[in-house]
Amino acid sequence: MSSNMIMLKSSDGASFEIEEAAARKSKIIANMIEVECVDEDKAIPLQNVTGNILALVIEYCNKHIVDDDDDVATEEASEEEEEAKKKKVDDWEAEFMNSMSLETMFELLLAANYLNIKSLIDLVCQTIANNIKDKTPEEVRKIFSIENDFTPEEEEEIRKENAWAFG
Amino acid sequence: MKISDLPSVLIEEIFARVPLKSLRAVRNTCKSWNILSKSESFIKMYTSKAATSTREEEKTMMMIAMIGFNLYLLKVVVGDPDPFIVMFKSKPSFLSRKFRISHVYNCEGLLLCILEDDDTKVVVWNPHYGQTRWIKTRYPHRSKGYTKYSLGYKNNESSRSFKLLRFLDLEFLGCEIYDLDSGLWTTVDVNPQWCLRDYHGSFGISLKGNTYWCVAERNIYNAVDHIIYFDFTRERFGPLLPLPSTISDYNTSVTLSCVREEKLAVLFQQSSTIPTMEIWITTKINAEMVSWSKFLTIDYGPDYIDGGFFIDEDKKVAMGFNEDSPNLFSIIGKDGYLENFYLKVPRVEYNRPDVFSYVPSLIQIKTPAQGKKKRQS
Repeated sequence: MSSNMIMLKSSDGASFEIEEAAARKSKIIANMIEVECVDEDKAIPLQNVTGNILALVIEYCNKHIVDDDDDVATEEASEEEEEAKKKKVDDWEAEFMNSMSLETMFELLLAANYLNIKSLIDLVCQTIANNIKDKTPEEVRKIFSIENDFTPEEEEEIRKENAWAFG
Repeated sequence: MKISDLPSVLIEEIFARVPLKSLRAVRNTCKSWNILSKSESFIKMYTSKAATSTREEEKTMMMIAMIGFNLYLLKVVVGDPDPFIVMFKSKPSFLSRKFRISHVYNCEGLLLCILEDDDTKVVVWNPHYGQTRWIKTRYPHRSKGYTKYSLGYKNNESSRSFKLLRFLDLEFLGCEIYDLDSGLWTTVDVNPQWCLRDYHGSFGISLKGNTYWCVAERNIYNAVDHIIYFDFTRERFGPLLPLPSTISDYNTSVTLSCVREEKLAVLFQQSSTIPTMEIWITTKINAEMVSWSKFLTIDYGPDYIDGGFFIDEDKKVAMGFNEDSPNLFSIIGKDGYLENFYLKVPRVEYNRPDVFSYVPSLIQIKTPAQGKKKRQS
């Protein structure tokens, strides 16, 4: 069974072919398909997404569409199988995110937001948030290249507040 | 590309997935993050995510315990294989050696602290931010113990206005409210048909912004068999609502507690003839009615919970300080289940012990409009 293929075109002119089912992960594209403003021969132009980021988005969508199909096919899957499958997806996602820099993550997050892919927004946000977990403000500044713009007085105020904090 | 190039709604989405204890680092990183993490839109997003979140450490139960005149943060893990308690920091440092806290009232993570030696002021404290707000009392009374306090809020559409209630139970000499937004005291007219007994239960418990007490009918030599609440939205006391119990009489000690900020629990302790303990929890509670179901009955020996208590609904246990010793913390359950913990604290003077579950609050304590101390958020 072959499904419909759709063409997507990045802001820098790169074209990608993607299964319609995978592309539907994006609410925006799904919408375009619904209202039939997708011309079969023409690529959908995505003004805000560059080729390298779009490639990542497509990789993510392809991976997840396969999994969704599996779910339908094996409705009677045992709990153990379900768990094993979930672990497989989790491992894949960890690996996927592990391979990219923070800068790429920000771009991917913007693209996921623009294309409205909820699960990808969740994944990227959680991965970025993990970089903040258990860190000191100094470490957070270093990781995200942020300048400390508090005045010495404000720093003193913060220091005091923290001394009062409990829990 | 930098994180600051993202629209603030996406930055909020990221911060909403940061565990609460790491949010402090977020606030202290730079000015814009500080402002964003205190914004109403963010706080709303953060609190709604908390319900469904995978933010791991929020699953362990945190409690605040009052031992002597000091406060301790506890983490209690009940059950498999053995229950244990981790104890953190003691006395909040905003209280210099000068002050001792005699009692604490919890309203969804904001704490109202009453001082043992000074009734001219009280302090509202958000331990999560380390923010405090000192409030001068209008007519300091020397009849300590009869002056009752509680902290509650009026639910507005987008925010909550916190208020402080203060009344003198003895002969009911007056009742007044302090509005934390306006910074003003106002007097409330009441003519109660009930009175608080000098049992442990005379301390109020906050639930959904209102405060509940165990009461007896006034002028009748009667058992404590009702609850009463103060409605902070309408600024008046509600009707008397019945308490359950099969063991209650004049000598029964009755104590209230709150379960996950959704239900009330009430503990009856009968010490006279056959020592028995009964705990009931509400199945339904609203402005006009309350219904209860029995949670636990324990025919127990010498173990008697002194002061506040707390229940774990899933594990079917109750916990609190044991009357035998001010630092003895007991977990009590069915079929003689009993675990005792001696908490390592310095020798303490006796004060009514207390323990309540603590969920940190992201609510900012406002400074009043005309307050002289201005603090930028």
